[in-house]
Amino acid sequence: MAAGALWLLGPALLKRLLGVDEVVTTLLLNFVALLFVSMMLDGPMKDPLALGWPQSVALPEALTLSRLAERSRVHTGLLWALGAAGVLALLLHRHAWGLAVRAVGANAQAARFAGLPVTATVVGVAVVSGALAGLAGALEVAGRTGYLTLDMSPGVGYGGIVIAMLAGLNPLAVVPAAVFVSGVLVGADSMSRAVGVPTYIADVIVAVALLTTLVAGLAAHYRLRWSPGAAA
Amino acid sequence: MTELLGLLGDASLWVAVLRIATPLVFGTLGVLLCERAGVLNLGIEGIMVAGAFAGWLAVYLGCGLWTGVAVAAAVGVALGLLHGLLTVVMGLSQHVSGLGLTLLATSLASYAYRVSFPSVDRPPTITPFAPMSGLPVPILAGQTPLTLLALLLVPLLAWVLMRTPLGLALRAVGDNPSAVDGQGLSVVGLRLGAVAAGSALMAVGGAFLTLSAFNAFYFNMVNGRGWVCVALVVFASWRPGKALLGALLFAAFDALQLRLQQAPVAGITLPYQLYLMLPYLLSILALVLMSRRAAVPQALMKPWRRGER
Repeated sequence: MAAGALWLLGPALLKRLLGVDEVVTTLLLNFVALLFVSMMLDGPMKDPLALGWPQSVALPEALTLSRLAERSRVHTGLLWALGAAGVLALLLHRHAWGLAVRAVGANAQAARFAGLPVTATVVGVAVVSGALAGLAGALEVAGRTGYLTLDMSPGVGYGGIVIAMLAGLNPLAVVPAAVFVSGVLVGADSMSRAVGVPTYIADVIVAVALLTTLVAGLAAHYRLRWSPGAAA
Repeated sequence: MTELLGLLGDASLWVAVLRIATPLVFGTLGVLLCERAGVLNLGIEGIMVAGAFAGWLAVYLGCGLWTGVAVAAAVGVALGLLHGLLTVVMGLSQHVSGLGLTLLATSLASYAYRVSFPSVDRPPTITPFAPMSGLPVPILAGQTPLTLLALLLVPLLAWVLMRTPLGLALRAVGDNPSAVDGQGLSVVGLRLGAVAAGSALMAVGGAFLTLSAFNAFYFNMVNGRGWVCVALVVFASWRPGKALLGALLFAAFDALQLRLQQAPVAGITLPYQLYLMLPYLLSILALVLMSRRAAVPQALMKPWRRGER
């Protein structure tokens, strides 16, 4: 979590102080982070028993998360995730900090005029969001595998962007949106096993869902009227 | 230090520099064209993947190499028009649409690859472009015609942008679309055209990877080059000539780090990942250094609707 928070501190400061586009800097930093993990896995964190695979030493038993149900791989990380959605919803909609965040997002100039610390808010949001993303990774290690490999996140990060858009940027709606996307992913796995459709179809569906949500967001601003035959 | 100078004097290094720079030149010119017209195109990463795949598939199915390039460009135009439809016509978020396009194009290419080749042990190969060994210029002779095309496109794009009425209209549409509309020109048409043409360039840059640099399609072969191109455009202050310079500089650095990995200077061996990080960190550094005095197109990322201020 701390690592994720620190990681996003850089781009957020660059964005506010120098106006560098944060999307591009973070996309580039993705590769740096992956390479750094790869380096750690080859070096200090390498498991000597892993037969040369880049894999870390397993976490001690005390640090792994317990299972929620017998004979399933669902772990207490799920509760952490639901809790995070709840806390974030409260923070954003029932707390002064959340009001500041939404004001800065809606109109930074107006927020500055109202005396809100725009830079501090943006940096704070980036740090919290980095921490949440870091937590997601840490829960995967602690709950699912017990050790760290380089392919921990097959597109989970980009999935997060899609889910946030699907949920209309509402923390509580993130939960059903995430269930929908993971349903598509798991379903694609079964389809692939049953009839041999490549699993990449899931990514195609998710991408189409993102773009159509974007369009639907626009359509929601208009009143759609069905008028057979008549000119619009 | 002498070892480093020896590396720099080696002609094969500079051959490699031009080869590494070629997809970056195509991509950077593509981004530059889009952004000059006021549209950020983060679909570049996916468009490069799609271009690499489509061009390669066309050649694999028996088309000529140049047909493959044309197919890649056509795919780029199609994806560019989709981005244009979402961002220019509908005025939606250029960041989200671009990332969505990257996801879509990348996954479609992977999907189509797996459907076409359900189970192959090693990627099927084609015969790529051959070097133009007939040319009398030493380093260019080691390159393929696509590299030459990239190098010729730089002055061409610069001339179109800076010296023709079309270029003036394109630059104006990126700075002050309402003024262009007032002149009776179509803002939507100009922006759509710029995004379509720019995306075609990006796709050809991707196709260079499969049709010239390598002879097969691999997943992850674009590997962040698209994002590097976006950074290079800022570094180049939205000027084609500087874009070429930036791409060459970046490629020189990349080629050098590859060689440093193999032959460590002054006996220092570092983890290879550190060398691989350098190009990305360099791009960010370039962004930071240049962003202060960059002449950003004023209407970049701002959707335009007639009558809105």
